[in-house]
Amino acid sequence: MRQTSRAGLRLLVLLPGLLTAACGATTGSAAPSTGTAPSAAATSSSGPAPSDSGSAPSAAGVTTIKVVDWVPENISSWANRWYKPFEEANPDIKIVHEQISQNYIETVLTRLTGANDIDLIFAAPDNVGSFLRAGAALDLTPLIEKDKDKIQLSDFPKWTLDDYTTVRYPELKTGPGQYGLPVVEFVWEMWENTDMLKAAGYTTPQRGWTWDDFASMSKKLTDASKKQYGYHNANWLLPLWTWLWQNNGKVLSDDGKQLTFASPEGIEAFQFLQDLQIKDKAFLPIDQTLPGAPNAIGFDTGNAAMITRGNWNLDLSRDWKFKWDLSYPPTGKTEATLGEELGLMINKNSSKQDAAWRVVSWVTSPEGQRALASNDVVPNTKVMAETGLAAAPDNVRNLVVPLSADTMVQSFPQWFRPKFTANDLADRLLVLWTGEAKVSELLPKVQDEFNKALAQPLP
Amino acid sequence: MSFITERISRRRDLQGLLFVSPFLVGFVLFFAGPMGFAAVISLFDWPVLSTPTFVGTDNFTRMLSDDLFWKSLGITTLYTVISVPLGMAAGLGLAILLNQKIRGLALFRTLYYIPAVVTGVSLAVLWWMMYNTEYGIINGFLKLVGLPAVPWLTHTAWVLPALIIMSLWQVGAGIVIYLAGLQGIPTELYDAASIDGANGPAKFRHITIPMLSPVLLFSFVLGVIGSFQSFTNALVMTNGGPSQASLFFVLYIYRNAWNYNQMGYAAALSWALFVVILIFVIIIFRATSSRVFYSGSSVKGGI
Repeated sequence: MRQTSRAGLRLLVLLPGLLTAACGATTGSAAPSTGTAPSAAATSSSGPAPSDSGSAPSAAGVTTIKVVDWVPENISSWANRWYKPFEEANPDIKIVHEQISQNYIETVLTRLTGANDIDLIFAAPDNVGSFLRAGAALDLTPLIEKDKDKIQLSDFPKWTLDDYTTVRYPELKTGPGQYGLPVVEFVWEMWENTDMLKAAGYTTPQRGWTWDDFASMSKKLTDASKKQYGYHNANWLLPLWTWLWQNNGKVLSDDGKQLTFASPEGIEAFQFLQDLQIKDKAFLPIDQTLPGAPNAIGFDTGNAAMITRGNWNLDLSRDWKFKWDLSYPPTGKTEATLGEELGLMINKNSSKQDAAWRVVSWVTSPEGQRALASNDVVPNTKVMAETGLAAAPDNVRNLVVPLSADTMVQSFPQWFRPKFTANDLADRLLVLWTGEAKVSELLPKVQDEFNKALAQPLP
Repeated sequence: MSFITERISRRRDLQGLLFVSPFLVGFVLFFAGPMGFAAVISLFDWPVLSTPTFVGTDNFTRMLSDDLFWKSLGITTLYTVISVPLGMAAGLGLAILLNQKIRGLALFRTLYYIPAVVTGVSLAVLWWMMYNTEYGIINGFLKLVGLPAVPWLTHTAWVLPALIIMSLWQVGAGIVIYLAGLQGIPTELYDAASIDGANGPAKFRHITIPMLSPVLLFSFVLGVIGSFQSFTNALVMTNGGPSQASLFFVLYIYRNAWNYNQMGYAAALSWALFVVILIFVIIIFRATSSRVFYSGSSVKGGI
């Protein structure tokens, strides 16, 4: 009994230690990564890694770089496609790609805070602000300066570079710097299901087609009894802004400090869309378009004839079971569409920053950009002009190449205020598409609410 | 002699501690520790990866002028006030039905309990499909009986009722507790009441409810705590929308932590929620102290 008691006492004392050690071991194995693959860790810790001697390095000499993005596999496959040429050119680096499809920002930040097992973060203009605010990204300015003979930033449109600086977010405490580099550009077009268009007697719209053309087509293409709709409106701000711009409206004031979407032009544009959604029922029901909606139907499932999307849609097209085409967006009072980009940021606390920079500097260099272009991906403007997206289908190439250099392309409007983010704005606007709110009442009210917040200093 | 007794007593204490140590360690590491950590970081402005800045009680005073703090607290309180009593009534009603001697009782009990073991996200996806305005089974039924389709999850007035109705789907866990309580009520009490001429409702009011009162209190308190912590359904199905009409308090905490990178404020909100729940629980115990009947004790309820 006495022995049992002592043993029990020892266990009692040891148990917290064991548990703590177990937790510590988990953290310890992940955090102080040496920049090598697991099999190489022991070698690294016991001494210098074996010399490559000019030949292909052994597994012990290979640095593994973890890259994360959020886009579905069928789209993100474009990213995987340039990993191979990179790894061939840089055999001492292996890229491991991970898709985080749900709650991307939250998951990445959690991982950076905890395991710190991510080296490169794909970021688009709508999530750059969150990463900057969290202080997650490394300032690339000294690295760019060091490799200025390799990377020509002048090849990239300035607005794509600005998306990764605090130019867009002057109120952030993050200091000035270049916190990421754009890897690919996207321009937004109107994509059509030509099977549906043909059945209704239409051909692919030509540049200069009007809002009236779009409205009449949407109505004629709708047959709710067949679950068929003219247009796929997803209450997504990016395509919505294209309509605003086409009506001569602006999302942000010139100084970028106030929202201006509730101008008469903005109200008219949103009213045009709401009428087609509610009165004419020519748009896909909004229930179907909520993010993650189960069994949702839409353009991809062949239930909507048109959708406004970027050229990344080409990757989705491989799963479509219908014939498709794409066209310039319809012309309102003017021509306008959206241009955005997807870029890479280096985890500020990554232990493999040198290797991560080699990945970034390669893919943003002319060599890397050409590798992207040969895989249907739109590179920066200069390489685009040079290569012309030779591998892309004719209809994509013939539209995307000239459109990407067209002055109608407008950059992604950005702002960052907790509780008043773009996602929060989209949530407020959702009630437009159920008919619950009037455009003329809701837009000014929401704009006023957001502008009050934007006028305040960042908490 | 007293020395030996003392040693035996100490040994027993140690053995007792040993047996409860898994809980104690787990409690310290996974509850008390994080709570203490949250209390500390609630005093800082901490954008997750940057250096925290000490701000004192600013995060707490900020809540008072934060519209969304009050809005999310109001939505969560309304949800709790409606869903908990409704869920208890439904659970108790079904438990009484399942306490009857009818054929296939085991099957019915199993069927009612199954939803309680389905994971939250699966349940949310299932209900999301059922609530679809155009193609959902619920609106399909409404259309069959000549009623208009309801935009369950996309209308500010309907989204909370939709989530409350959905919460009833999980009454199975409560049913099991109520059934255990019902079966613990001595049948002699009902027999005696019958001899005295009491009818069904009178027996329910004067025997069933008082005898079940500890179980009801337990269920009520847990229900209130659980309701204030509602999160998954709103995150998966509505993400707090439309127009923040389903912005539950915990979802607001989550957004502050991970969407807005305000970990310190999120921690302060978490402590505020703890205090709110604590106040509700104290009110419940105080309000029911004279109404809860503990058959094994001469003292009536209360804490």
